[in-house]
Amino acid sequence: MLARVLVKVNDLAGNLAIWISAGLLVYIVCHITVEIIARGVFSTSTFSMDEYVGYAIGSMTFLSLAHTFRDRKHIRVSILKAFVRGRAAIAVELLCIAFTFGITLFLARYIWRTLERDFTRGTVSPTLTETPIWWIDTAIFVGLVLFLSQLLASAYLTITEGVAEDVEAE
Amino acid sequence: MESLFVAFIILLLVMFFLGLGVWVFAGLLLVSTTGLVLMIDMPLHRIGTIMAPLVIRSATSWEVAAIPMFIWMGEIMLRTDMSDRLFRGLSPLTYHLPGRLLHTNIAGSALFAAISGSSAATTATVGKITIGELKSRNYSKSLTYGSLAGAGSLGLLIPPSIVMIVYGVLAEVSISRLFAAGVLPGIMIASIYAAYVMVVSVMNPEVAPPDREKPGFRDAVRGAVDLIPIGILIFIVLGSIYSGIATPSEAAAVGVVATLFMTIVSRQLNPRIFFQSLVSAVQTSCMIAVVLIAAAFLSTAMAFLHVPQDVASAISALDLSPYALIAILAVFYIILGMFLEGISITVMSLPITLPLVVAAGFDPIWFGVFLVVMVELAQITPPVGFNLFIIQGLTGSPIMRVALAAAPFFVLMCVGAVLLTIFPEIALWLPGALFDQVQ
Repeated sequence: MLARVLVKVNDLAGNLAIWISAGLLVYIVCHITVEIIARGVFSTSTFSMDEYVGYAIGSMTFLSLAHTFRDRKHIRVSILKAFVRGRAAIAVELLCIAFTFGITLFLARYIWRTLERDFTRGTVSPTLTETPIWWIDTAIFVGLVLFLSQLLASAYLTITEGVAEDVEAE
Repeated sequence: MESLFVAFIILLLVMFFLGLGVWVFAGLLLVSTTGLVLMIDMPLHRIGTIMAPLVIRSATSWEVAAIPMFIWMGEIMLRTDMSDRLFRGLSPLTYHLPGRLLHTNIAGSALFAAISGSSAATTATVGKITIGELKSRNYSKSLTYGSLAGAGSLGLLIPPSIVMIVYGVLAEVSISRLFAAGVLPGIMIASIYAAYVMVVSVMNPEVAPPDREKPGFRDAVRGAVDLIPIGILIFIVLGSIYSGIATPSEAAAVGVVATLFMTIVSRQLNPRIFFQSLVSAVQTSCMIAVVLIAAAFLSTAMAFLHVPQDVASAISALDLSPYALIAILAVFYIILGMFLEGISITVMSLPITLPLVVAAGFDPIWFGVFLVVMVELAQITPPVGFNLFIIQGLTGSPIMRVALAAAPFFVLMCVGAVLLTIFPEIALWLPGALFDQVQ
């Protein structure tokens, strides 16, 4: 029961994060369009395009990580998967999830350290805008936490419902 | 010898983690971390302090922004009537050639490739309509599937191209030059395919039976009108880059705005298509971006392990001629391409192969084009070939049947790669003419 609630909460959080990511993609298109018009028509600039579009793309990538995983759109080589069936397939899938969980947890731990340091020191970007860096660290960290939670949910679903089918990458 | 041992262990780690089925981005991070711990005994806390800032820096690289935008553009077009228009536009124009409507696969893919950066989007969009139309007219299934598989991969070579952006970011070469370098090789390979279809059709006319009603001049004019929106998009995207209005990354935004505008005006776009295409673009771009981020860490780990330098010096010691080196690399890429998809191949191999190739005297722009051709080959080689999967999905035919149909086009693309190696000007002439004369 508790696991089911966890899966549900996880789905909601993943959905919210993917819509924030989608909003960021719209923002990227808008900022670049404004920059082109400002440069071409008014001979000026937003003076922040490279920087803010970079932040948006980084945040978009990590915030959509969990939802993309839930929809099985991350690429993998399925040589072994083609040969194993039943319980063996579940065991292989759980091993893959465990390895992915381990390396993501490791990364999240060090991103947290960077976030903590940037926040306490009040680090800002070395640009005109002097944007606090901890914002982007936070977006990446939140994305990783959502992904870790998605991995746990996927492990539970693998045990209870079997191995999910991957969607071919585009 | 020790260096080759390190390279061998790394290869074993890659085979273990990726072969097991670990997702590529996590697999690459695991290979890098395990390699650093096992081979040079690097403490985990040091690996973590190197990994975190590198991940943040790679994730926020502005050049990568072009990828989600070109994908979004392709996703919008995939969901509108673009494939219908392509077929309606091209069929009266190609009908009178030997092979008739089979050329709609090739010309349609080449045209769609010029507005989409993805091979999968090209194959799916063109195949969505041509497969059914050609089947209903009793065209050869084998040539239909094969020409679509081969020509669909042109989405990677004809600009804009997502793999070229990835290569440009990793190899630190001009993406505008890379885009220009892909145009003539793309046209060359499309022409080779068209010539093959013509030869087969002349030898065996049954592969492309005639219609009861032949299209006339009026149909050709009507067809040309159907192609106008695609022509406008090509002009806007490539024109904005080469007129200096926009960089390749900015041109992607121009392309998205133009596509949205055109689909709104033609009443093709509704909220459902807009949001579906947006979410799908975010997911596909996330999939690519995390692999790129992991690959950036793999490159750093390889540098710590001295793998690129050591493998390069080991290969230099073999005293291979430049052509022998390219031949070996081609075989290496074809083997990789059987198991990996294009972006993984590019990001995993580049830290080792690029220094080798540059040291052998090849232009990095030329190598970018060569690598994209190798990646295109990977799209049509089983067991892992994404164009094969897409055609399998569209037709329901077994993967091996689709792969067999694509086999002649695989050989033809290899011929294209050989021509590109013997005559590097095929790739290098256009960027030289466009950029060097201006300077």
